[in-house]
Amino acid sequence: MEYFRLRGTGVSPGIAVGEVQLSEGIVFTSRKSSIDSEQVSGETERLKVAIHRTEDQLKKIKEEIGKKVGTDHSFIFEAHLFILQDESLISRIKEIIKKDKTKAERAISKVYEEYSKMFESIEDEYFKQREYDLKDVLSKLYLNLESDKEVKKDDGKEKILVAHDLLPSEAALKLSQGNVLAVALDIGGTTSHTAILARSLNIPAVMGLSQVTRKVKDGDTLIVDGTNGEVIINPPFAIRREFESKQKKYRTYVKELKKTAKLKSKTLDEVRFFPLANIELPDEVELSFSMGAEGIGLFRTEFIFFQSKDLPSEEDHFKVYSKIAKNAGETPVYIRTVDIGGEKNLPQMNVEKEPNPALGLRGFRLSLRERGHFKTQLRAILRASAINKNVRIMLPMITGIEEIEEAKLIIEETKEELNDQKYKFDEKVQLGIMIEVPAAAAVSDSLVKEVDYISIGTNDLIQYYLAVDRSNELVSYLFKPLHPSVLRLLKFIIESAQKEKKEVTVCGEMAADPLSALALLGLGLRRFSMNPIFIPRIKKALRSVEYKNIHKFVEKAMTKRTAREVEEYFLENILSAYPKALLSTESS
Amino acid sequence: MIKKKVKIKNKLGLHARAAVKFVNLANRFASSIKIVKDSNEVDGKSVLGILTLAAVQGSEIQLKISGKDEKMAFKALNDLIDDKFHEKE
Repeated sequence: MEYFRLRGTGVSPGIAVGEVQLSEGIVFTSRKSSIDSEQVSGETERLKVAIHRTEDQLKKIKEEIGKKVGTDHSFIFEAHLFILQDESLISRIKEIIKKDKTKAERAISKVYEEYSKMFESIEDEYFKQREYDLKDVLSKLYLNLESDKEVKKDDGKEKILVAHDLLPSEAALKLSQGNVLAVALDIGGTTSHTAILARSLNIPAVMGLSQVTRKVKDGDTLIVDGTNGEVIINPPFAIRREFESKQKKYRTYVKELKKTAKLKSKTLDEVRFFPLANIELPDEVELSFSMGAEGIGLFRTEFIFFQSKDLPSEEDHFKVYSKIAKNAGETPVYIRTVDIGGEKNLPQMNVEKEPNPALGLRGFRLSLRERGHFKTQLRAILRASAINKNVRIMLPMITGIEEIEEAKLIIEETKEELNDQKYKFDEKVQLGIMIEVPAAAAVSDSLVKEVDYISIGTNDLIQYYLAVDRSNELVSYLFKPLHPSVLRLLKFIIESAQKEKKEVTVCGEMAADPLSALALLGLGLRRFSMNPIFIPRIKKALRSVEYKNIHKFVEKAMTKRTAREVEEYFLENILSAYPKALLSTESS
Repeated sequence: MIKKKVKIKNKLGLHARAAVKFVNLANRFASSIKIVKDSNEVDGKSVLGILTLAAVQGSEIQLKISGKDEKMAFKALNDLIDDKFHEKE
């Protein structure tokens, strides 16, 4: 029982202590276990029983997932059922048992090898990837040859799920059971489907651990600290105690924060502010409101594209947008048109690999080139705007006026088409842009005149402005949101919007960091959009201060020479004037 | 035996959803149903087989149907393909 600590990315906060259950990976065997002729019928019978078991499981899963997450997600299991019932597949397995005189395990493995060769030779990316569906079905079948393996899987015991990666279907299934205490994965990051799901279900998760599956075995004790992105394997007693008390504190903290969620969003001197939620799934709307969100400040639409292997249709888009628009009631929903291209590539889109993706064909630039897809998305957004008249269009990666003009033309064209086809939509649907390119920031005073609102994407803006790739560990120390240059830029953007009496939001991580959020408040920002789980702590920080003093602190802090001087000055002043503002059990 | 070439017109080709629809329909007929594309022949009642054809939009496949309800089977399957598997676009 070796003690070990691993660092990864905390993608869903909270702490859990529990026993490891490794998610079964590829189980196929290359070992040929020979049998006698008399045993052939026995093996065939085992196969038959396994097929029955798998069939029952798939049907159950299909029904459960259909109920919990919707029939869109359960379709995959229907396809799996068809694969399982595929006569040519099953008869081939039986044939191998008989001909090779081998156990069913080897026969299943061999059939998989045969089919995977076939799939690998396919050029089309979509059809090539169907191999994973076959693998999924055959590994279930394989496990079901032994009855006790299934029993062990369905024990309902609380556990910490450790895996290399989880397919979206697996994640939906396993995390919705209610007995997964935490998740630790070799790969993945904040925006992976599993991460989103873990957050919305309040399950602590750490990803990008690279080798956790090789370091642990079933039954090991594991601490998963999703807040700090750490995993501790077989902790000594003292460390376990330490984390258990942290866990307790965290729970009290969460309870307290939930209370905060219901309080008014006002500073001590009655300045009204608006916490909004950044979300990626329609299911996150409910969570957002329970955390105190007063609207959806950023709905990332990429998941609609990543979810299916095909390009989504207007109905696919509409289904999602209309659900969010409906659930958000009166509060605004900012729908950002698709921001892919560059690194976040989609096989369906046929975008060529670029040498410098961050500076390449991405966001609105790609939408302009793929007008058909863009219009499909716009049509769906516009149609959803009819429901509660709360939907807004938001364009990512805008650099200049020309792009806004082009977008307006396309939107007008789309509106006319919808009119002709007798579709309803909100005539006054608001159009806004993301300010994330430094050039756009520099001319935000003229850009803001062309749109109804602006939203500052601080993550990308700061990366571009400081020329620092945050994920590059050699330079990430230079990523400083409170760098005086950044504060000056933000002040200019916010004031530009205020002069035109337009709304301005920050939807980057700065809005979720208490100290940065206070700085933004001081600069005049009133709309803070963030991952909903951070809303309570930001609300708490903003509610504990007076705007007029924070404004003074920031103005003074901006005259400092370095990020460090800014931080020190600002922090000191806040701590002495409002000692409670930054208090949270996470840091104490 | 009916042997006829048909063109896959829907945007996504014979992808998983379309293949499931095809097999669902094919299973209602007693006739043997084969699909040929290039030099590969697969069972039209096998989702897996259909997927391995990787029939994208615009590809031509041949339906080979034989049995006592072959006419009805051909008409039904041909209609399904013609109607782009009832997909919206």
